[in-house]
Amino acid sequence: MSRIASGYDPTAGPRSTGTTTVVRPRSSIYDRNLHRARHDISVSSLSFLFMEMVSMNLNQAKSLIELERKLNNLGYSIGTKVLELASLRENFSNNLTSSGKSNMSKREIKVLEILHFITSVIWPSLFEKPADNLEKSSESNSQYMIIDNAPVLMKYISVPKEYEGLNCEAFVAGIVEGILDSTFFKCEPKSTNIITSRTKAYEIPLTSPEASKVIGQSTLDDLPGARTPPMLVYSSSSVLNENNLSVTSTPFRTPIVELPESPDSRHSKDSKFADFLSHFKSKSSKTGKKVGFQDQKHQTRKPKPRIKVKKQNKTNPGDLLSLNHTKYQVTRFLTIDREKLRSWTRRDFELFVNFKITA
Amino acid sequence: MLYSIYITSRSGSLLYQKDFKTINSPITKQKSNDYLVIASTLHGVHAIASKLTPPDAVHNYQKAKTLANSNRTGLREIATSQFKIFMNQTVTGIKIIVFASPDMDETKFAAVYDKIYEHYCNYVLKNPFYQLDMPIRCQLFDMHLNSVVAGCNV
Repeated sequence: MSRIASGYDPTAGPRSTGTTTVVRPRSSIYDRNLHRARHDISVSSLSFLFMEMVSMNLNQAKSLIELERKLNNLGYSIGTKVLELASLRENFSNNLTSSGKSNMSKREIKVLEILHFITSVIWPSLFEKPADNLEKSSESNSQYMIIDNAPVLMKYISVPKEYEGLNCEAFVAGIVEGILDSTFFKCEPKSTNIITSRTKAYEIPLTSPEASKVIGQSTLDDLPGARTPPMLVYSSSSVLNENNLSVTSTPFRTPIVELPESPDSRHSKDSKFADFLSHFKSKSSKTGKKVGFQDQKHQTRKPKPRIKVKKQNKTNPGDLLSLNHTKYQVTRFLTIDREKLRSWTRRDFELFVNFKITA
Repeated sequence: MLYSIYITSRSGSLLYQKDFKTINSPITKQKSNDYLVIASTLHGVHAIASKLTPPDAVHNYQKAKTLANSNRTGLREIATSQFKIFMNQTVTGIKIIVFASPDMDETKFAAVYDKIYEHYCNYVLKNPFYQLDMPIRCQLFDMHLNSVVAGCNV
């Protein structure tokens, strides 16, 4: 039987057919070097992607605040990653020009420097243009604003009237938060919207040095740059005011300012948090009301729940260390072992912050 | 001069309607229900016109490999002594209808139509809060449409 007839003959190996064509893989954008100077992406595809992100989360979220928190979370995980890439690229291009002086491992340790880095390096790498302005707030010493007059992601989005107060730039605020978080600056970015001039500002209230002093005693303090350790505990302070929902359109999250020692040592510290959670979870399943969303009138009309909580606080001091009821503000504190806290993920913090308290 | 702009969906329902204030505009304000009637009537007339197109002409178009939804066979223009109505259909069957002054011709309309279509694609379709086949309520779209009309009505 002749094998020559047709097909591939394994004993003879590949045969030349005369005209050989070498197939080279076409270079796609995935094959390009990480250190490329320019990289173009289509604004259209970016806006279609962002559109889907918003509308998907809009369908899943129950409230606008939840939608903003979801967008914020998406941005946060991008922020922690984009910092590495942007600083790698930036340092690479610096090395090309600065005659061999290596600054590969440069790390920003001052607030102004990292904010400048965000506006002048991260912003162009994300949006093809630097942010328009970086301003220090006149109200608070530790508040800065990154201002973008024409945000790329919002280019084609017009927020309808029924969603007034929603700011899709919560996503970008999340990116900023992620960057600052992974560089060990404590922050609480807010995206605010000044409609008249179509300006978006990202407020970054950084915690005051006094606040970081109280937390103190982190191993990271030994590092030269770690003026402020990473976020240890979030406490949730919600203003009992109806207006609050529209004024601050960001999820309620403020870094804790105090970490008082527990006066009572009956429980082990680890089990306290579990107690704390289960305590409120069982409570919230009964009524399902949020303290933070009740308006002030409601509170004054029904003073009973406040008394109840206070009583509870007295009888059970181990669960809740202090529950301060000023007229406008509810703050809850909790003591947790510092070692335990270090192993906490962001999810744990959010769980801690967002579960419902019943009055 | 542009007097008003209508956008209808593929099924003939009115998605967007706006009258523009101009001097001596022959277009009078209608009840909101009448706008719906006008839109669906024009939609129907467009469909009838494409049915009435002689089969030879249709055959020629098909041989030229034009898109099925292209505006070759439908109604394009209605002219009265006071104003003209231009209409054009996009690939998805959305119709953009423009009421204009009699001095408007096809080439001028084509330029306006392109701009309106572009703004529709950008500011309506890329808006996460817009659902297809629902009335268009986008602030940015309004803004850009106004600038198109302002550029035309100078």
